[in-house]
Amino acid sequence: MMQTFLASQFFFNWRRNLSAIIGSAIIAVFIVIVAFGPLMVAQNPYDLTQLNLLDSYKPPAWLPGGDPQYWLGTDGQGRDVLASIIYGTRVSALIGIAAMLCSCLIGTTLGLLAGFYGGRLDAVIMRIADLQLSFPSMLIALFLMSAVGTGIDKVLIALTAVGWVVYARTVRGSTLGEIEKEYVQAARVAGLTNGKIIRRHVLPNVLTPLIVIATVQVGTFILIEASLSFLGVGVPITQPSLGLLIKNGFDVLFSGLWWTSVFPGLMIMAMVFGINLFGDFLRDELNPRLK
Amino acid sequence: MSMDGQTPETLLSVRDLRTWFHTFSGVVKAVNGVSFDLAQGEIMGLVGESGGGKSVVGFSVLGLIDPPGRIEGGEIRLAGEDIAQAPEDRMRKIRGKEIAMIFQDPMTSLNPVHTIGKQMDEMLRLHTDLDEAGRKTRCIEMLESVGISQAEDRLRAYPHQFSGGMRQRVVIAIAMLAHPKLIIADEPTTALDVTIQSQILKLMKRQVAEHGASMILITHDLAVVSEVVDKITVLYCGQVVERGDVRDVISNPSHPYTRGLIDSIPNPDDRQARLKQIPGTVPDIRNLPKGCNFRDRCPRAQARCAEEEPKLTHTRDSLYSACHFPVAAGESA
Amino acid sequence: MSAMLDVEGLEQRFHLNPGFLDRLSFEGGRPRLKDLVVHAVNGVSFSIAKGEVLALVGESGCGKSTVAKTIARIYEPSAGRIRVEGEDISEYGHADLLPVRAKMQMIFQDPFASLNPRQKVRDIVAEPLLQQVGEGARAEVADKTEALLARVGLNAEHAGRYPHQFSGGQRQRIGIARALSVNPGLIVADEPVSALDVSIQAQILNLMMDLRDEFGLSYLFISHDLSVVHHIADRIGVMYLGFMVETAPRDTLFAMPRHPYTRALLSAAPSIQPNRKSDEIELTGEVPSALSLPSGCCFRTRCPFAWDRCAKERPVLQDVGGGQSVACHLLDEPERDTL
Repeated sequence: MMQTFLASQFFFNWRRNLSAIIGSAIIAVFIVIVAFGPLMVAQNPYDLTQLNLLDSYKPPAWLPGGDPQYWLGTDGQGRDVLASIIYGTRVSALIGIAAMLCSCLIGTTLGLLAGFYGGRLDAVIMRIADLQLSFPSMLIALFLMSAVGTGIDKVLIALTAVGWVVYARTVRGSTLGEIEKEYVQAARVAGLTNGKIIRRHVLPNVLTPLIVIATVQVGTFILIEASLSFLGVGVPITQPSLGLLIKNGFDVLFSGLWWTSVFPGLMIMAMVFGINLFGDFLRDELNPRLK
Repeated sequence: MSMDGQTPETLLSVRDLRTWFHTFSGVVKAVNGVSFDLAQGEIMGLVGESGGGKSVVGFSVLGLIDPPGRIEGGEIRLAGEDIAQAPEDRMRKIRGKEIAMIFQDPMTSLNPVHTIGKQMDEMLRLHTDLDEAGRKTRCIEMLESVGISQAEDRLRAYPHQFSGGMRQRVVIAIAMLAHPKLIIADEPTTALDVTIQSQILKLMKRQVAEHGASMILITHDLAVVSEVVDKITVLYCGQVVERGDVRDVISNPSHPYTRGLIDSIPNPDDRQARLKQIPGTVPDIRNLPKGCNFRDRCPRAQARCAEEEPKLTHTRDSLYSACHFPVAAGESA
Repeated sequence: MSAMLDVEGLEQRFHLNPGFLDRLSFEGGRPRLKDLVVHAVNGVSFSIAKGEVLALVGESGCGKSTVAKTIARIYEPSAGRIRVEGEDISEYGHADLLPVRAKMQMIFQDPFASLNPRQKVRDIVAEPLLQQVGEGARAEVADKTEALLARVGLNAEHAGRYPHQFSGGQRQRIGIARALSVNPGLIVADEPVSALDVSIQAQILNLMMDLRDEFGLSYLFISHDLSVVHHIADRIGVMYLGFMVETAPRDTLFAMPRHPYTRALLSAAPSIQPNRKSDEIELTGEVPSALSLPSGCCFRTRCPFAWDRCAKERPVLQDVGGGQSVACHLLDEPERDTL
């Protein structure tokens, strides 16, 4: 399998595309952080026993007053900014991926049903989708959060509620195209049930565009989650979150204590940028090429 | 082939044309050493099966080969001028004015968001000096000559308001507008019904004769070709395997591939229980066999065919064929 | 002995659902909502005996593909009866249709769209049979699949590959193997060779003829190519705008076509034979839309002989002897046939 991949056109094009390589490298770094984060830093910033209030608001190590133990400085409660960022990234990335998977599952299912059966089911699903698209996603998320409360699981629900639409619409469109094709008609003539036709014939052939959508959506969700947490309606204060970190640092930003906000911000930016770079490459690669 | 006994001028002369596509999985030698001549007023059929390279020949003459394809070598002489490697601005002056192309699918060769009149007018503005009134008159004349009634009203119509056959007529009208010397028609009737096809073929033949133009008709349909053209060039795997006058090629070909193609067509007057078929499939053009490209499927192949590539030589009558053991007159393959 | 397939008065109408504003029109000063209906098949009847090949010919839009797909129950018929070996399947639900699927299978036109690109060849070919005997029988079915692939000219090593690795002709062979997997008595072939090159067409036609002889198959063969039809058909039905205008045994149709459309079709077909009948009927005008059929005879708008009766009265198929039936008013007034 590995050999086929290395010899493939996909890998060949990847090697020659600088932004694809950079994007993949960034994503790889984040995967490592998600997997091994706690092992990479000495302090667990959310374990109150490890904190030392006397170390609060230390600047980054290379500035005067900095401490080599806290490479990127500390915040108001003596939390190592680097450690906070790593823990926060784990949570943001995991929320982004989990929400993407939920959205994908729900959205794809609804899209398949809408496209395959048409009629009233299609009309209902699509009208709900249209309704949802007319509101900014942040607004919907805020509304939901104020209704169901805060917490990581609630954030997941809000993101899924916002994110399913793009899958449903894309899959519905692809489904409408695939069911007219003769191999689906052949499956009917073979006597297959509708369920089997959808699972075995339609689904595998509508997945390709979803790969790009899913990849880019992780980045979008990270941003939404950070915004929600920044506004105080996302991840609770006791849990790490890049958005919360930015919020905490925001209060002291203009006193010159910039490192507590800026570094988490840069982290978010890097994650989303890497995802988008790689997503662009994927989109070009997966585009069916006309000879 | 002219009325007064004089040899008409050669309009197009192609020598050893090679157009290759450098793809990830190998070099596709779509056209690999094709030569032919086309005289003024002549209609030539370029025949072959899918992947045989015939469309690529058409695009090469027009300079429409995009990377990863490239004209590697050879000459394309249009009225003496070699345009094989001509720069894009020279080609732009030639396209439409000297050479026009008619594509297969009338639905995509017309711009759906412009009226017919606008598309025809654009063609005239690019290639002639007529003023607005003059252009409109020419457009109306052209539409009428291709059999579209109420031409002046139809100028304001959009492509989707025409049926397939009518659209192809419009495409032909646009092609003829600037009175080109050469028309390249790539499968112009394949997408049309049989009864419409016959109308369109007659129309094309008439237009070509009226304007004294020449035409290359690219098709895989030997029946269509035999009704319209003066001579035929047969391509296989990017090379010419046979050429000659239409009646000679159709009734008594000398190359086993041509013979096989003719025999594959069901003949209502001579019904056989089984059609003669050419065994096997077209070889992968990235990996052509040594020697003759056709040898793996040829019933007459011998040792020499695997070693030596046959050259195009005169066999009989008007036929030239690239075969070490050509089919004799009256013999079956 | 009942016919393999018997079709009576088959009708198929498709309701289009354009936007609200497209359907809105004003008639007699009041707004009305039109319901757009495509009359694809308008009362077609025929039967196919065991081991017989019936070809349906006509140009695009005549409804022949729709007939094929309605018989295969891809669509539900709007009206009419379909009987397979005497059994009326016109209103069968999914469960009742399943045993019928073992008697009737289909081959499709487009070799590139008729195979699931994500399925391996062995799974494609085995699918209809597995649906009959149950998914658990995969191991037993594997031998049969390999035998079928060999019979259509492919090898065992092809079984593990994907459709895109095959040529058009090979894909049609895979489609034929799939149709044969359940040992059907009837195969509905929808333009099976139209998308293939001439030399491959010959191979596939020969294969289909051999299989017919070997397995005693009946074919409903849809095509627009008269020379192909001449080769393979026993009887031919000519369709125009959803109506059957003429049926006849093969030789009779080609030697003595009676309907003006059949005559036009035969004379328009390009042929490599230099000495064809010069009975050239050139048709003028365009095919009318199936959304609004002409009154009376559907062919009258392009027929060189049409007169006022043709606009008022729709002709019905009349038996003219020798197995030939024609739907044309010229039968009653032959002196109007001036060509």
